[in-house]
Amino acid sequence: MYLSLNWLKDFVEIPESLTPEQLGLKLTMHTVEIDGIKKQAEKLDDVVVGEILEIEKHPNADKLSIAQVDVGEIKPRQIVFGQVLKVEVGCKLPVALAPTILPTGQEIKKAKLRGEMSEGMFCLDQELGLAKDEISAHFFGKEIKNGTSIIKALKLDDVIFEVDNKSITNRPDLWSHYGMAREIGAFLGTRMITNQLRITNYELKSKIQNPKFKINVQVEDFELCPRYMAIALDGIEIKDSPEWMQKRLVSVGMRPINNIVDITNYVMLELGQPTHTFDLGKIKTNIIIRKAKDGEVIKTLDGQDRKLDENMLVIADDKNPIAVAGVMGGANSEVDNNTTSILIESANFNPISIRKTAQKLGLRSEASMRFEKSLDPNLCEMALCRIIELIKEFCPDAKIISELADEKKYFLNQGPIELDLEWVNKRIGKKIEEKKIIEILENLGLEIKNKKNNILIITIPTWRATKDISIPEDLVEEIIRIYGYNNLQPEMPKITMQAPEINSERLLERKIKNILSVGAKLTEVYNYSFISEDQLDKLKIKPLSVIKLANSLSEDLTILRPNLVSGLLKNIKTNQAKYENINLFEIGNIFLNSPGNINKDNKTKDVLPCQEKQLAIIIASKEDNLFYNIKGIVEYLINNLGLKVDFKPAKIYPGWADKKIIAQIKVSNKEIGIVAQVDNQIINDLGIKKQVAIAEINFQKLCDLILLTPEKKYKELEKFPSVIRDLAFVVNEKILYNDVKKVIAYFNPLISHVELFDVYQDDKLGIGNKNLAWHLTYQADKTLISQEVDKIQSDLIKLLEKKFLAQIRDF
Amino acid sequence: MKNKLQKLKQEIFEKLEGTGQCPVPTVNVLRDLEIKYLGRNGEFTKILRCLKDLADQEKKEIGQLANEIKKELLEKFEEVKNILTASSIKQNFIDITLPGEKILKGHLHPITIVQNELEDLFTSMGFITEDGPELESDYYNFEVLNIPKHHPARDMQDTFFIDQKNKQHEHDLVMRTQVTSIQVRAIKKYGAPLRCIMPGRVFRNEAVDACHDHTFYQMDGFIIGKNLSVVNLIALANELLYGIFKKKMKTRIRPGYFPFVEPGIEVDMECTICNGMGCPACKNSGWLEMLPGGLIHPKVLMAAGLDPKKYNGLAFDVGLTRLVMMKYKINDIRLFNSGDLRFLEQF
Repeated sequence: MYLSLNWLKDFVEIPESLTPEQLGLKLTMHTVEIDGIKKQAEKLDDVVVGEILEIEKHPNADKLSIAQVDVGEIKPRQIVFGQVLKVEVGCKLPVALAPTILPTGQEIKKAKLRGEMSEGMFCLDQELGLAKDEISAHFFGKEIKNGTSIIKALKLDDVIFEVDNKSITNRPDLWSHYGMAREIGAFLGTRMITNQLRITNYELKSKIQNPKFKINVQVEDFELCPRYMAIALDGIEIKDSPEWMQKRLVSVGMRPINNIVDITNYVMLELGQPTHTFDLGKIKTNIIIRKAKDGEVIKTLDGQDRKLDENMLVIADDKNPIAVAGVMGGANSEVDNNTTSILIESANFNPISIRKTAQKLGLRSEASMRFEKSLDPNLCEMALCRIIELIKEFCPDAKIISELADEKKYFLNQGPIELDLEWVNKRIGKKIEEKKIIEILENLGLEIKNKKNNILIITIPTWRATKDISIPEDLVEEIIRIYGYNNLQPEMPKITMQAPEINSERLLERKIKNILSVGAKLTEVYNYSFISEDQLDKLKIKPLSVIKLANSLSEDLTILRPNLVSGLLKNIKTNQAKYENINLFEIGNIFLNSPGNINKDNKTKDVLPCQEKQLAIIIASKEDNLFYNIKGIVEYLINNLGLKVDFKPAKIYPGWADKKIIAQIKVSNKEIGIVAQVDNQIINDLGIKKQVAIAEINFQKLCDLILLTPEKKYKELEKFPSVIRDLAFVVNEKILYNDVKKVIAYFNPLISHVELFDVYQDDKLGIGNKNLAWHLTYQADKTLISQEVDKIQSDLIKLLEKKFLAQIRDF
Repeated sequence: MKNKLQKLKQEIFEKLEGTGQCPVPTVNVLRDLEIKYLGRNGEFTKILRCLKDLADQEKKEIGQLANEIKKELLEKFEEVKNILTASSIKQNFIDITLPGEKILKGHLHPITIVQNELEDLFTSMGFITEDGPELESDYYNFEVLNIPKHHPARDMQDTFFIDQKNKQHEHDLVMRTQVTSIQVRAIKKYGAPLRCIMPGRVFRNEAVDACHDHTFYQMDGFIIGKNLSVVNLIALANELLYGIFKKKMKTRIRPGYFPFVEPGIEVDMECTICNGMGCPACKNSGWLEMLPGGLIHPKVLMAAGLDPKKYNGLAFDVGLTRLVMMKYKINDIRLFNSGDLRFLEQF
């Protein structure tokens, strides 16, 4: 929203000594955030009124002309110009004198254009920063001397403040110059000027003489329309509104249309009350405020057909809807150039209803934006009076021809609120004098009804009573923001010293991230929680149990990721051209369309969908032993966490995994995830040119196991030397390492450690065979002698021969 | 026996000295010689082993001699070894500027790094770290935070809704728009008094550009206690900025509107890039919005089951992603979730 300083000055005294920057800062520090301040005169010092003396065609360009222009200098200036503006000899218009820079940043230089010197430029309003869209220009009358500064000629003495709309979401009263002026008066402690709005309701009624008819207003539901005022006038002549009004509207970003429309817009920007005028000739005078019929259609002022539903409020005459209440008027009742009589509506609508309707229609108008903030129904009256006053000023023949219709039923909670001053000081943390508190509250329009002991009994003014102020805490804010937060001395809270509870999962997550990055040399990535169905499709994962977004941002972000794999594979593709080996991990939430274990609210037993933290590791390279690499990483991780890991044949196969190269990860005999190589076909489909292996681990399960693990305990060092013997034998390749290892490890209690140090396959060993070579460590509570170890080893060999048909090899 | 020993000594000395200055070419050759003669099965050692078969008198005499010779030999070996080592340095030039052997390095995500730092800072001040669901109910994300349905404040955060409706045919599941959604859950879990931070990922249905992403990180914090005040909040905010930037930062406080606090404030920090002079980063204001906060609204306390007459609270939010961008001068928010190693390897 834009605010004009001159307009604000209509309603509040602002000392001349206060610069616009200072006022902007005060607004920011006490009330609302000011996003920008623009002085209209800024960068217009070199723009003057110029008169065209001569025009000739440009010799080298069809679309250009050359003018000699009197800009008040000794010699006329030569200016080359195009066809945007229609000008002729004798025109007086704004000329930028080169060299200069205009408010838009456009640089004007003395330069040759197609071989002809140009020493300036004719300026459109847009180029002067005076209007936003459309093309318009100012022409001046004879009385303005050539060379007059444009700042003087157009009285560009205003300053425009840009307000951050988000910071006034809770303040229905601030969506206008009048409301903002009231606020400025409160923090500057200066007087409000109210004589601008001199017509009271009483006076308005006295102006209604011999009304010709009564407008029948029928409000079906006062819940949705707490107040509806209407009045009819004739003697209207549609024309442009006076320049002063156009200028103000343009300065705050509103396009002038005609006197009647401009007046309603002007009053909305001035007082914050949206109103609407209907062409009286186009409607019946029975006005019904009702819910739309399902499927009812209305063409709105912007020319669009709007399909309505039964939850939307419309203004209708006997037959048709003539406006979408509080959102936009209908084309069928629009004021046009032939309008001579009008019906003015000044009403109050339910904020939620307006908001829902505007959202559904995708039509956020200036009106709906204000209504949805909960406007004060008392404002209807003030606005109506002001409109009539302005119409009478612009159309002297205008006459009120109807009775004033005013249907209303509303209640405002104006308190009173009991405010304990001692409590106020506790909340602020500083003692503020009672006198000061009373002064602040009264300046804001709050009424102090009574005082007993230390308690003020306070009545809320209607414009703050719709929802903004209702509890003592709200008043604390009023006091402290006007007093000034920066006038407070910060002071730390006095809190009992206490060690915080430890979030062990969080610590563990950090530990895992450190093991994987610092230890295993992986790089941590973050991926979005949203993926596309196509991504899952490529991974051959059926989107059966995925969760979809109702309003996704784009095609490729439509579902919540049910795994981390899809993101990580994308990362491989992103990096594959620049990196030979890629080693990444991610810890993040995945989402499944099944009931989880987190409660949804405080009232029911409903739960949120399942969302669990997952850990995934991905490695990619051209080499082909990736599966064992990633197993190594998983072993390293689990060992570092103080646990042991086993790999067992998998029972579940995700679509992307190579069915032959996949194993389940088991810790303490519980499955916590899988490790697998990615299927070659899928890699090709994804456009990845490397081998890829992935480990997926359920973070929660891993956490639970680790938290159950007892603290590490020191084991006494061995007192006697151990004996290490090597053993190698050939077995069929299908015999699993796990099984052989188990036999060896459990063969004799003296075998304390078994380690496989080599595996190889060679046709010389017989086709389909492999050689396994082991280090066996023997340890006893005494010094072992050779013979003992020899005996065990030879018995073991016999067993291996029998059980696995092993052929022992000599070293 | 004596002769045998003397002869062997001579043989060894010849091999070690020879005619030239140092006939032994390398340390390795020297070590082989040492093993050959003085090793466990070395020739000299073998002779020593035979001592046990001699008569006592002879044993004593020859034993003494053998020990002397052994000592001489060891000294000689040492001497030659020193010559060799010294000469090797003299002969082969070592380029000490050659790179060391490369050891691979892993990387943590920059947000993880800064989040860890912040968690440590808050833990040191007695705060609990609490997690919450990213897919959250409308109830915890909005309603308990005093943002009822169809409240205009909902416009402040464009929300992703989940494609599932409740019994009233409303979308009541959202991707959380703020980690404040954890606040009521945390209070219900731990009760009062409480100090708590809530770091995490949040989502907004906003168009993406270099400064805005639909996914980013926040860290909210709050204290529940008795008679907490506005001046307490301001002091805490200043202390946090000190903890984050490791120096005293100039701040200013102004009103801010957030439905779940009353009063609500914005803590601005003097722009670190232009030192308050005004620059594009601070939109020429000289100030950066750092910490929104306020005293917790009594409605929120009641939703969490607390009596606002007995307890009150203060709350604040740290824009974690923005902080990381400021710290490392990252100018494109989209890099965080790009998975681009050229970015990630810098941390």
